[in-house]
Amino acid sequence: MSEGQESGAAGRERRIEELPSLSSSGPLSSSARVAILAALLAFRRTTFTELMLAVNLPKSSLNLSLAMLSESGYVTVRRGFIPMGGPRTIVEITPAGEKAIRDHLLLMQDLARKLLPR
Amino acid sequence: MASFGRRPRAIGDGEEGGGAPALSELIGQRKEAGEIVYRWFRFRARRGLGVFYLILSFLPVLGTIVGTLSSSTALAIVSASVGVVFSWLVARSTGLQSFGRMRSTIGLLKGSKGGGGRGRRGDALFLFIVLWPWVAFAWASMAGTAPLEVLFAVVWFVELVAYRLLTLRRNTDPIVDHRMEDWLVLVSLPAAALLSTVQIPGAQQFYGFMFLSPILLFSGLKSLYDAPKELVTSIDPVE
Repeated sequence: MSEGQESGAAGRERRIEELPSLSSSGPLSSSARVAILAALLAFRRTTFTELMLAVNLPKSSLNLSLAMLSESGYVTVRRGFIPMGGPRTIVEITPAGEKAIRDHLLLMQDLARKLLPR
Repeated sequence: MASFGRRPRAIGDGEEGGGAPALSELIGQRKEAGEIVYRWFRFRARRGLGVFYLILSFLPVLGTIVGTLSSSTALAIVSASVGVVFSWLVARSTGLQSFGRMRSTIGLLKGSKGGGGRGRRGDALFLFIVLWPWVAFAWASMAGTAPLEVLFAVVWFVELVAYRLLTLRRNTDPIVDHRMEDWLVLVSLPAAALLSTVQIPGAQQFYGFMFLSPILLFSGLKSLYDAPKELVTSIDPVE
């Protein structure tokens, strides 16, 4: 369970109410950026080239998305060396990014449960 | 209340503001993100398997060289085991890593908080099924007990085929679907072990493992060839 997460129906309800406004702007407002962070939750780091292939975005759009994530402190972008791959641009998730995407996905789960009650 | 026709955003659309999106749009966003992530994971896993098989394909050749230079069976088996561990470590660095975390992320995207537990148990069971007859066969081989060698090779083969048949219908692993080339590799291991127990005039016992090389080479190349296709395959993983 992530730090500072509210428990109980009331807290969850309040966070669900906040979600639309949180997701209308900011770093988690596009599915590509959510996907990048969610994948990095598993890999920790990847290369710019692989990101471009996986997310299927043009270079300029990907640069913009990474700049937005980087400014929010969710990822770091640096030049590095990959064994058997040579110098590459490496994108790495930060602890803040991990927390943000985990919280976001948990909120989305709550939202889905609220919208699609079973 | 009418909605005011907010244009649905495309994947990667980065525009700011413009009012709160409909809740269904958020659900759609999660689904789109889930599809990207799912394809990406499958690509990584397939690429990692390809590299793993390719590196593994050199081992029977190296094993034969070691076996020809030295008559010690123990040395041959230890060399093969070291080779497998080395290949595994290399493959991990190319994509066969973080399976648990991948499953956990997919669990989050699908809506289950726990994630990965059942997958990990499945992996452990699968590894147990694959590894114990190999260890038993190696032991019987070192001890020079031919009937036990045959027995463990047959058990190994039967176990794998039975596991395949039992899991054929419920192969719902979101990351690695066990394909023809994967099973070819798995089944060829006990088949080679069985072959090595047959005494062929003029040939040494370990020559039976040589035919693994082309199978591993084929499976590795096919996996590497197929890996990029995973990024464009249509899927429906996240409800």
